[in-house]
Amino acid sequence: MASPGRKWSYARSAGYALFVMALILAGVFVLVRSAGDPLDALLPDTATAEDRARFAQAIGLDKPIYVQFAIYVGRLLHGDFGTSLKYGEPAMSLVVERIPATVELGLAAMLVSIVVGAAIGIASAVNHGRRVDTILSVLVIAGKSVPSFFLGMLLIMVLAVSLGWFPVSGGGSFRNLVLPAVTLGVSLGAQNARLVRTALLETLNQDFVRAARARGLPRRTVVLKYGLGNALLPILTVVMLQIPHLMGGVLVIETLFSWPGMGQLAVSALSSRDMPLVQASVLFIAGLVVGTNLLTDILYARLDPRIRLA
Amino acid sequence: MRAGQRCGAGFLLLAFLAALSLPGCGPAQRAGDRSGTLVIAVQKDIRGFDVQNYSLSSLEAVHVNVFNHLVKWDAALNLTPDLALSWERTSDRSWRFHLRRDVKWHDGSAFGAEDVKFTLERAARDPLVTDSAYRVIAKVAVVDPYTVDIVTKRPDPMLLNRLARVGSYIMPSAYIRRNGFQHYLRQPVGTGPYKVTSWSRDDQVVLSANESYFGGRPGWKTVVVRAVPDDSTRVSELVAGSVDLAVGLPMSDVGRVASLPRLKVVSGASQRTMQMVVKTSPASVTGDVRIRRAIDLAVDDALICRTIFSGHCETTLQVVNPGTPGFDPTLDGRSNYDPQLAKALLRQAGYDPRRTLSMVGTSGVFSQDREVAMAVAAMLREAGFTVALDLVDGTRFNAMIRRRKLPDVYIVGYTSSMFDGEPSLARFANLTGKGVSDFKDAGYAALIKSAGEQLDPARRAAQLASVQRILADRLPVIPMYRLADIYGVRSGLDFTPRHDELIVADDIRPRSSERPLMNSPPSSVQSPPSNPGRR
Repeated sequence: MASPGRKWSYARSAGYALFVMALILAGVFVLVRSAGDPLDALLPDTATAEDRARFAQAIGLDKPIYVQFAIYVGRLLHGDFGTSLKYGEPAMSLVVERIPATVELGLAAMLVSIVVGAAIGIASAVNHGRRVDTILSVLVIAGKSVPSFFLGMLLIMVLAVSLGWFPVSGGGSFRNLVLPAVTLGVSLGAQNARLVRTALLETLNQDFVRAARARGLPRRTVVLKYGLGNALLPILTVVMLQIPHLMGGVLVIETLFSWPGMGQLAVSALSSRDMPLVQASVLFIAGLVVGTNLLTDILYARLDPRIRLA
Repeated sequence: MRAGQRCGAGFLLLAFLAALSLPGCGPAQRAGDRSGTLVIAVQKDIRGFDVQNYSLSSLEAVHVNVFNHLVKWDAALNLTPDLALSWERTSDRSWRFHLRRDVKWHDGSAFGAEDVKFTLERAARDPLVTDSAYRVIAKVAVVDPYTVDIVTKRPDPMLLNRLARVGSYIMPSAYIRRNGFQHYLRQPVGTGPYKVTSWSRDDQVVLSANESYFGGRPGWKTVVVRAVPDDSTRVSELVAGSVDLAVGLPMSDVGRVASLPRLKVVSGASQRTMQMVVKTSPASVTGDVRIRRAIDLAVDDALICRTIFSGHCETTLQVVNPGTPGFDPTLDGRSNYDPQLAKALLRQAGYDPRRTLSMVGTSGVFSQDREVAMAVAAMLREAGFTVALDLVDGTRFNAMIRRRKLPDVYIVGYTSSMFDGEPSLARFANLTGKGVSDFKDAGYAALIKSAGEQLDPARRAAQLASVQRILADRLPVIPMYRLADIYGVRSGLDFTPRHDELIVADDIRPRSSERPLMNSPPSSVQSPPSNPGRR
């Protein structure tokens, strides 16, 4: 059972998270309205002033912005995120409809990044200073440097168009998932590889690892159990913090691969100035990022009792 | 091999094997494998099935195959019967339509006059319908279950055009009243040749043949319309053979696609005319008509078409499109390019090179727009202008238009889904022209107003021709070229692009040497009756 001090620190962190969400809520509300008149995107250019006034009144844009904000927050507190101007459907249900596809892509990309990162990182660390290490380091730098849209197009050209192994784009099947997941996962995998290598090298030089070697334990046990096991904490933190970066990558990759997830939805909502949908998308993504950070802090504190939440 | 190396190599091998062992990781399904299925890749997904809130005719491949109009355009831009068998004008403000009696909605219920009344009155009155083209309709009166009268607020020579354009597809009134509009949006029913089987937003719409379609048995069992927004991905889909037709082929890929034996490039004139809109107010750099004429003479539109578009566009001296009232065939296929005369006119007008000509071009809005704007600026500099070119994205450009914060010259492409010259020509009337071109001309305004209510086609054509002449003399707008729509198509298909840019699935046919479409040959398509009501 958590001590009162720890409970208080959890509550304070949750309070910060709520404050950040409130700031994002207000910021997005103002930004989507100041980025240009949404009627420009919603109405044809032949619309008369009368048409514009009538439409503005129908969707509540004729009121002062603070009144609009008060109405918006009031509805939000009742679980109403507004109706999409583009689709005419509740904005949050449109976002929720897309979550499985984006989560699927995100998890697959994470899996790719962890598998690739761990494999290369371990191989580099145990071959430290050798040619294998150099070659893998170059690969890692290349993986980190190549822009994801370029890698995506390359994978499409080779694996989908030339070899025909995978569909070029679209969603709905496991085969469709492979190319976008690899594209997204490679860059993160490169980052993970460097992290695993550094953490493992550090751990492998610790006294307890030397002691394990001196006891004649098999190398595999020494590397995986004593080395990697003790290097997991910083790796876990970084992997959790990669989720926000992953969301950024998803925006580009979903469009490139026509993957019907939240990224595509948010991009199309932005281009059509669908304010309720933009707000719902951003709130959801922000909630995910803020929630992940909060969870990482709590997990970290629980895994390592020396760490206290600020 | 040491344990660590084995471990790392094991992970890599696992990743590789995991990728290769995925179900169906064999060669991707090729187009020819899909018997009776047509796959079309478009740039944008539909917004939904509120068909009245969708005025984007270009790239439309879903609604046109699911719904019907009262009247429709044929490939040669003639108005032909669709849900209405015939029609007649009963007064200056009233039209009577006689409807087909053999039409069923996809849910099996009968189509009738109530559906027409519901649809058109919603389009005319609902403030949330963003398309204002139907506000002219005052009411729709049901005469009997298969006859309706459409009453307009003023004499409207374009009523039939309105009824044939996107945004006026007839919707199922009883189905919507019974189940609610949200239910209709999720499970739409139409009267067209294809039913909606599924819609995965931003991914694909799957349509299946409506065997009881009043126009005869559809040509395909299944039509899949896939949204592939990224140009390079859409082309890759075509090259990989997973789509039959890709809409909006980027110019950079035209040569590559044309060189592939299984594919061909098809292009057709679109309704979008690129034009330079020029300020006419005396205080502006282009206030003198000789300077505006010099701009027209300095730009080599034919060169732009030849080089930037590889011939996939047509030069023109008018903003009215072929086949529509007001179109003058003698003004098409021409350019006024004459750089020497342009220089002479500039000298004559006393143009001072210290006065900078402000110019705006778009980037990523129209085909090759960035390249065209830079080429035009270079040609104007060559003629002696001092040009400040500003390239802006679509959002900034729309805001500039709306706020009337526009430069001396800007390049824009306009289209009209009405298939009539008036909307294109009326764009420069005093009201809409203020702050845009600052164009004011009493004669022009009177002609536009009169043509807007003129029901005699001959008089109206003469009025629109007069408007063309005024624009050609005063030059608030300098027409440049008409863009072509470019498609990548599988070689085994016959496809001719339509003027209205709609993609009608049954207009796309396999060549006779190709596979059969359906398991059994389609029954003959019922010919529409002659159109006694066409005016």
